[in-house]
Amino acid sequence: MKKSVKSILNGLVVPILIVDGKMRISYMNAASMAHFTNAKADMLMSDIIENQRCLTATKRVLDGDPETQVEVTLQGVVPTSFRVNVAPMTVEAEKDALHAILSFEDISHIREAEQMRHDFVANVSHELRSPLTALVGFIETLQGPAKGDAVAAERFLGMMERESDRMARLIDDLLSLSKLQARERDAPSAVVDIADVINDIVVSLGGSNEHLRERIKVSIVKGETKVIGDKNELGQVFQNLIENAIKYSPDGSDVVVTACAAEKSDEHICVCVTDQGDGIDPVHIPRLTERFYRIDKGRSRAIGGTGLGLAIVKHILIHHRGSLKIKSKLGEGSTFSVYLPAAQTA
Amino acid sequence: MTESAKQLVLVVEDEPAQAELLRYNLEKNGWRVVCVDSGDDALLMYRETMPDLVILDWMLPHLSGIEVCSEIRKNENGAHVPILMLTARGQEEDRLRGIDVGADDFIVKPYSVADLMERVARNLIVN
Ligand SMILES: Nc1ncnc2c1ncn2[C@@H]1O[C@H](COP(=O)(O)OP(=O)(O)OP(=O)(O)O)[C@@H](O)[C@H]1O
Ligand SMILES: [Mg+2]
Repeated sequence: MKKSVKSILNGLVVPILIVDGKMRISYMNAASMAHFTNAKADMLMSDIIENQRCLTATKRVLDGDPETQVEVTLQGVVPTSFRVNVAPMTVEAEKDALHAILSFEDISHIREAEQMRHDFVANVSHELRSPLTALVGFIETLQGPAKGDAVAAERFLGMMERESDRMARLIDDLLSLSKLQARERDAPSAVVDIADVINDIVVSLGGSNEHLRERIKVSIVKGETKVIGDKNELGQVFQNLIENAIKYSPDGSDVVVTACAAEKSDEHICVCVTDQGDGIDPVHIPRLTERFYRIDKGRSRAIGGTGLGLAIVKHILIHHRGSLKIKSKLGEGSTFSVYLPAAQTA
Repeated sequence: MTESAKQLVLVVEDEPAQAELLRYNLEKNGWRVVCVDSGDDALLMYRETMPDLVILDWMLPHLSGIEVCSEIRKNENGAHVPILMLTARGQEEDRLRGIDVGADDFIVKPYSVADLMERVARNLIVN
């Protein structure tokens, strides 16, 4: 093979394999060597690829069939899904003998995305089905067996209200998430003072509940915590984090909100929400921002959670080019730290 | 009704509203009811009360419905107790696995309460 052709093939990130009429490997490009690490020239193709469909497709092409594609999962260093294109080619140096050229397109990320979408749809339908089942059942019961039972009717209506609220909240959160994902590309550009955002949240969370407002201790100096962001979205972030801190810690314990310039970088502002609550087992921490991930489903539901709060936080922070860090110790409490791009103060 | 009035139904359902719905309707039909909200409690309660029928939600935290079902079947007293499983629509594979571990009937959520009560009655009589 010409040197220039080889260097072209080696420049491609797609693994390429050429086999001769006896299905011996006659050429591998660099990407191919990197993937099939145990391969050597002159080996049989079946020595490195055990997948029968891939071998059969190659055999057919060598027997004169036209170009074809197969999708296979190959056990390389890590199992990878490939769409393999198998095309006939002739090699001049070998009197135009028929060879097959295989190119391996990595489609793992597509398969993963499909799997995630599938899981997501399954989760959403489960989360919607539960309240719906209760509503359908209560309606039927009120029309039939409980007709005229005023006490039961009163109780059922209360439950139906809670279940329909739950459906409404779920739909709101899902819409919030999908809007956020659509906006992720364009980072916000307004200057927002975190102190204002937090104060608004504390007022709206506390409402007329003096006791609750007492629990939230904010020590942020107005004017020193300006970030680049979207006021509404940042409000959602801190509302979620402060709500969690309150929900997952004992009644009456303090929730502390602080802000500072991030260590090692004055380009970011770090806002921390610290509670003295249950704490979180380290095994759960990496998964907390997954949609619908809850450590204790019963508890989250009992306090009206959809399990989407931290997923929304995560996406808002992606939108802001910021990040979230979670530190926690079981039994001692948790700190959720939000890093946001600082507004240039000059 | 006089005979079934003594019969006990164990409801394993982690959604409080649905548990309440089942309790009301089963009691209305003259059965006694105990409700638990987890698989672990289901096994404890099963041994303690020896119910005449079990209504078992498929999706439970920790121990799943299928595990509870096969545990009850392994229990020497649980080989013949009717077990009705509550599953989600379109989960055909679930149904097959459920039959494997010995569930007697499947009810798809959202279900009709009247239909569910009929199946409870039918399974109690057969037994
Ligand atoms: N401060 C905290 N302390 C202990 N556990 C927490 C804390 N914050 C979150 N968690 C755990 O993380 C899970 C996911 O939180 P997330 O905010 O996404 O959902 P949620 O609070 O259950 O529902 P939602 O926020 O949608 O109403 C919670 O169910 C809880 O188990
Ligand atoms: Mg939350």
